[in-house]
Amino acid sequence: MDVLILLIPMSVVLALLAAVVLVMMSRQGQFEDLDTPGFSVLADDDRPVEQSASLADGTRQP
Amino acid sequence: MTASASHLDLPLTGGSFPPRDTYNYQVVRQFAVMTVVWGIVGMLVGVWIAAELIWPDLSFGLPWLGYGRLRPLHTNAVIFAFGGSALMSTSYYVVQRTCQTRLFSDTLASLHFWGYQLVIVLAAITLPLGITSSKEYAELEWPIDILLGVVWVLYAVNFFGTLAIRRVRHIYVANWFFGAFVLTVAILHIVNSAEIPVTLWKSYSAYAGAQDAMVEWWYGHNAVGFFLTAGFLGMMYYFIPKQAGRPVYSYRLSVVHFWALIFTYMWAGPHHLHYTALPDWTQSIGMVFSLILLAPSWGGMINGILTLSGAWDKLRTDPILKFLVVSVSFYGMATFEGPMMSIKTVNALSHYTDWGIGHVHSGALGWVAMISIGSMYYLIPRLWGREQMHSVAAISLHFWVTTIGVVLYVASMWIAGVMEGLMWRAMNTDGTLTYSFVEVVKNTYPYYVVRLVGGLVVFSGMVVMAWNTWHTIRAGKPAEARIATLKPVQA
Repeated sequence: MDVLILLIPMSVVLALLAAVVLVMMSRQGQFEDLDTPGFSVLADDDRPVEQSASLADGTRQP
Repeated sequence: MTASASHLDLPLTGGSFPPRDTYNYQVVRQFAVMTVVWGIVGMLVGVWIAAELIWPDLSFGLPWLGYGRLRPLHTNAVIFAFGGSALMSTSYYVVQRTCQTRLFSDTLASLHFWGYQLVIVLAAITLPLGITSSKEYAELEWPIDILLGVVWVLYAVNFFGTLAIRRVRHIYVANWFFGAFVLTVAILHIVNSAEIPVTLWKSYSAYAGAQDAMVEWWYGHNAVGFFLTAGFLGMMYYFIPKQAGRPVYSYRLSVVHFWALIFTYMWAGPHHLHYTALPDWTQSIGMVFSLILLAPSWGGMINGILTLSGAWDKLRTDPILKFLVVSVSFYGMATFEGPMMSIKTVNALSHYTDWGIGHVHSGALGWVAMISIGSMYYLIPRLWGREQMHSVAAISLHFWVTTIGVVLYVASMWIAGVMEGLMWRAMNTDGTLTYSFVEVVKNTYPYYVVRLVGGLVVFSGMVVMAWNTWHTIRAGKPAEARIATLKPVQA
């Protein structure tokens, strides 16, 4: 099963790369605040223009 | 939640804006339409081959219509054309909205769309002609493989480029899942498609025998993990919160879900090769990793479903939410069933039977198709400036039709599969087999009929969706969405 000599080290390298990305991103503070991102995505109003416009005017309740 | 408008710097009024001030909805729209189109095509071919298993004469003696050639057409069309288009549409939408920026490149997006459609059309021509590399789920011949590789790189550059120019600090969790899908599928495709061309339309795998089988299922199961799971989890983590109007139940758990899945997925593949020429220890590794996967999978499934806490009443009235939540339930069922089937002693009964087909379709129809359909019903009105789909009642109809169809499909295949497994292994006291193979085939007949009915019912739901989409698009016009600057939200 020579091919395992390719596949196993490749998985190990990929896992290591993922670990590097995880550590790098942690150091950059990507995972420091794990509460507000869940709300931010809801704060982005992606409803069609007409609706959002009336919402911004205060003529319509969300 | 406070009113969303209060976080906006600019009112989102109509009119035309400079391109960089708007999101690229064009490519999202293109892939959304093709999701519906390829869904119809792929499922129609599926229904056809299900009928061929009952009435083999349906191929009319034509080689192009034979089961062996249409089956890869079906799998390619539903997984890569339907599922792929859904993933590309939603990933481009989510990455732009959550990064508050337009796509990295409109040109790349356009090349990606047309290039990917070309790959699908080439697949639809070559597979019925019998042009195949014969590797399951990777049947396309080498020129198309190269084209697909190039197109995929365009996609990757555009997706990660958009992440790089994001205007918010935090990368929303859905993007991690989409990113892992884009990156890993590229690697899987390149390694598994290593082949030596002989003529323009014939090549041979760079690997031989059991080695080839190992690479094939390393690719195959990781495609399940990163194409059919990670990508669609990206959808789950965006569209369920948005549709329910509730944040992810535990954002922290969603991040843990992602990293746990990434670190444990890579070696589940050998469970497709139990009791074969593959070394025994490799098979056992495949089984162990498959069992480990139950933990992150269920963590994610529970996180998705509990996102509805405090909003369960919406399930009564909102058919889009029904689609999304039932799909996550199917994800939970399939990710429990999968590890169980990977246990060698269970596999001895289930492997090569229709149980496998049932398992795959509870994942593919229950999880992948339902979450895609729910996401499309969320997206399509927004992309064409409509408040909602043309007919909400039709969404509800589609939901019930799909659910009933999937249950018929999966239950009939479970019964057929266990029956086959038991009949194949039944032995007389003198050590001879109790049943001949054809006797077992004969006994599957009623279950194949039920499966066809289930498939037809699911397909009819897609027709309803196409009708609904057509009317929604006709009454609307392509929406232009201005990028609003988001002020930080106080938790």
